[in-house]
Amino acid sequence: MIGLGGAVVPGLVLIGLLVELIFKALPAIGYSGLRFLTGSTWNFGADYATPVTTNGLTHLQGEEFGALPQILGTLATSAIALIIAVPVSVGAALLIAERLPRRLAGIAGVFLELLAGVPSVLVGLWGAVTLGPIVARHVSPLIAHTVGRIPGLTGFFGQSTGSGQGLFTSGLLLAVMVIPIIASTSRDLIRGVPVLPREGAVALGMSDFECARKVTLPWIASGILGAVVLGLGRALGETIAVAMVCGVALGSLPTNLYGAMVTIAANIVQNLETAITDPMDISAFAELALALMVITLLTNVVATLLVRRVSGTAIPVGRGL
Amino acid sequence: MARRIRLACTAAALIPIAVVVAACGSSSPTSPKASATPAATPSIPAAPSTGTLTETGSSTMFPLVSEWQTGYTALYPGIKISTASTNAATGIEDAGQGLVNIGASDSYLNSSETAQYPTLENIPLGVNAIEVIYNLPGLSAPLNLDGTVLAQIYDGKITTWNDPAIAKLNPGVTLPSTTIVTIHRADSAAATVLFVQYLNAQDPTDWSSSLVSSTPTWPSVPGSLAETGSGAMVSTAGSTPGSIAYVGVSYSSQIAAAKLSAAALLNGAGKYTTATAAAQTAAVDSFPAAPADGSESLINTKAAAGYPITGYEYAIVDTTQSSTTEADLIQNFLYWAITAGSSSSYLGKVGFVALPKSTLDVAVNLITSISG
Amino acid sequence: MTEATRAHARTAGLKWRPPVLAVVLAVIGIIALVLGILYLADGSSLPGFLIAGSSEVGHGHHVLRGIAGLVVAAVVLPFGWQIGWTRARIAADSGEWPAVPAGRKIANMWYWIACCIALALVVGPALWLVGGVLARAVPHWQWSVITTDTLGDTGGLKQAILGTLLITLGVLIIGGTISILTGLYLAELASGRLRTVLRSGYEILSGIPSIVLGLVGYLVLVSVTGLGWRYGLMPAVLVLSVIVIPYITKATETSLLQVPTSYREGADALGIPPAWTLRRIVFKSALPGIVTGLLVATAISVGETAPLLYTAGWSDFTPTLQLTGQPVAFLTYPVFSFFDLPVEGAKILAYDAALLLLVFVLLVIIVGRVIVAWSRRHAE
Repeated sequence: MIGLGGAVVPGLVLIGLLVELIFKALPAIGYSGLRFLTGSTWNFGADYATPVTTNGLTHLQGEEFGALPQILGTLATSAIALIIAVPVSVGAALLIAERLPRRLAGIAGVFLELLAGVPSVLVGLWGAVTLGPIVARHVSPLIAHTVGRIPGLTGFFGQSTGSGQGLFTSGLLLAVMVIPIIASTSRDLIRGVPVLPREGAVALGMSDFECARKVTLPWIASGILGAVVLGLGRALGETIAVAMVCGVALGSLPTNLYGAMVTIAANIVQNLETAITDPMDISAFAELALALMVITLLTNVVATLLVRRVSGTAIPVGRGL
Repeated sequence: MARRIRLACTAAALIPIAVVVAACGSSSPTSPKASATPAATPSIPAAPSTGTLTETGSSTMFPLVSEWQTGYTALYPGIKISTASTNAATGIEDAGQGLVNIGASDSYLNSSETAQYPTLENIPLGVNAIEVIYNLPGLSAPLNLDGTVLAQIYDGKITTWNDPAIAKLNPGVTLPSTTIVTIHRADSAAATVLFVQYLNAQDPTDWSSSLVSSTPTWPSVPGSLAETGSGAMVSTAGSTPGSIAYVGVSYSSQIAAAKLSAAALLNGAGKYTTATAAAQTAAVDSFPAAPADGSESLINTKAAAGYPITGYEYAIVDTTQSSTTEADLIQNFLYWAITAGSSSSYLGKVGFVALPKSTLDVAVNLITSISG
Repeated sequence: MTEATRAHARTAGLKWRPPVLAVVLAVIGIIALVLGILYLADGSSLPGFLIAGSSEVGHGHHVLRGIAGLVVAAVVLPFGWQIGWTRARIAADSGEWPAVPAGRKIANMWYWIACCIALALVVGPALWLVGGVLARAVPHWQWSVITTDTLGDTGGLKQAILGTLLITLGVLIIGGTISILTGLYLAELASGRLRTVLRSGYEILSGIPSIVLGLVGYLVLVSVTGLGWRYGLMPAVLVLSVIVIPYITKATETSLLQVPTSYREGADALGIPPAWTLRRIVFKSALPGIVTGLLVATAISVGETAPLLYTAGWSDFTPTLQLTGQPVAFLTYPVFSFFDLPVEGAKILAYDAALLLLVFVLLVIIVGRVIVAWSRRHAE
């Protein structure tokens, strides 16, 4: 009985969470309507002026909650992270699982554990004081000078390369945080591939590359997909590291890859203090949290379905050691 | 069994402590020289031998309050002080609700705040200045700017740096045709209040008083950026060519490190000045003594040498504290802060200047009105 | 080209020719490689004719040329090697075996090179991150930081360390109890649909971003519009407990399910009561797994920042056992809040806290490995 008492706690917390967020978000939903999803201006309102009432909702003058840049920022940083993290993780996993001697593979595993276990705030610190400036001085100009010269890509990759606080650095940091999840899962999946089909491939005269491409990777593709979606969940919800390197530019979309921006989670952690004094601002933050939760839950449901359908392979939860 | 797990985990959690060899250093307290003294010796109670004091609020004030915390607790080892860097709105809210003894704010209480918390008072502690910074690496001397030009930049009427209006203020300077990127604070910030007060004071037509707020409705300017926190203002301005932003004078070392320049601003006497300590003092001295409640705006000074965007930093305190001991402690600490704690060794670190003598008396009166 | 191969080629009646093309390609490739590295390192040290016309565009141009050099080297060198090698093999094998096309071999080599680069991109940032924090923290490190009181943005980290320990302890007590009970119930007692429903409860919970949990914790527990507990130990412990529940539950459930059925059957056959079996036999063999789960939970509660900012608050006062109304300091706060303050002492404090966190993570990893190794040895 006590066991059941404990077991229902997660479910109850979940329901309470949803009810509270929806309840708190209602005024902002009523106030902003669809502009929340389509608008690009985020304004906490004039706190020195007297509040006004429209449609029965009391709010500060000039309050506006257009979350489109934040939603897109959340998706864009995660997309950059996955574009970098997926090939890197799978490549590293192939090397660790198939080529490295046992001892070296163990050491590589320690590095994966280390990356997975380092607190986000340390990754953020590294991103803000070490990686960011290097990105600004060397990496961004390099991309702008090469990719940015290709006609058609000048808009997004060219132009001013920023301070290292923005979309690109955030994406890089998220990649660093997602890599251990995808890489360790891929490694375990590769090790789980039966030896017979691979021996068959070798016997046919396939090279390692052909064996990986034709046998190993197709065998574990859906498992990797599940790990990727788990990593995506982590990237979408990551808060403190992104808050330290994104530049916290509210209410505007970055004009190019290097511009300052903000994600939903970073906005919540950086600006909740400003919102605390006004109920409508708080309500808008509840709506933001709800939006973030919907996005991450969708990816998680997809992950669970994918992984369940594919195989019985155990997928480690989140950032597990 | 569960106990054993817990023990194991506790042991794991305690390892960092266990491996540590503790060594304690002690520093000898020295009391800094007082910079100013009030006219009459006020009846400030002595500090109790033990007690606690809590402060939260303005991030601009935080480094200074930290210095005060160190200096004061060195003098009175029995007193424990806690400070935190949040923002002015939180400082006022928490002081009003009695969660902290002192809320730090860079602006005086507005009407809705005094209506909500009638027992709060704002005690001036020092003088801060807001600098207007810009990212135009080619220019050596500081640009001259005035409220009209700034208002027109921030409402989108002036869009490039070589606009005739800017050129008129800077004869002989070759201005680039770079597009101006305006940056303003997204969060509630007293720096914003002071900045827009200056725009409104110099150009009420381009910047109406309805746009004076800590989070005003900024006119929509294409490409403008909104930033959270002074640090982000500086770093984004540093990374955005052609950008313009405003930030407290305590960030001057960051401004220099980001290769940004601070503009010389037109004051009420028609002269352009930069935010030096002398210019701040000149500005503050030109205003009459603060009224009895301490709320005074120090914008757009008429002194020729004065810097036009200055303002008092305030301690927001509830005049009725939980106990007499607490009230005594707050009085003693605040009095120490505006006298011994206002020497240049404290204020100089954050670029603030001390209260003028006349306002010092007002502050002392406000301090003595705190009761238990 | 060994003497034996050459002899082989001779006996096979083939005339051995020196691989001119391969040598030329190799020379070009090596020159490109050296130049590329020099450009990337410091282009200005190169002879004048190589950097002519690039001075006004500065370093970016050198980097470009460097990359170009490396790309040329990367393309030319493998080709040169492959052509030379394949020719030699053709000669050696005297045409009996069809040669493996150079393209396939080059593709394979590129594949392994790419994998090596990928591994470097995993290990590199990890080393860089650790090294970066160490390089900034160690030169200023003083042991007294651990025992000194925090004074605003300077002083020591005594309060933060104690606060983090207290919060973590609370999480292990509350979150740990709930999770182990949940895991136990799911693995041993629940069945069918109930089990699926309860399990999906914590699985969904694991996917919710911690900032969302922190925000809800603030709204419900801390804010006056909710329970009005104010910043303090209890809100922080509760929110972190919810965050770690999925991890410990998963670990408990998995390790209980992995206990061999023969243990239970054996105990059953000996007539031992099921409750006793569960407590003394099943639970005991699942213990390493559960402790590992608790270790993960410890690492998470020590390393979290975002949800604590709005539940624990921050204070320079030494934490007490007072559950609500008194803000508690925690170790990740100075890293996040002090690193960009315009005060040198604050930055040092931020890096000191970062160093402590890093050391703690390394300890957790080591302890985790020791537990795994220990349980493996005792499993047999």
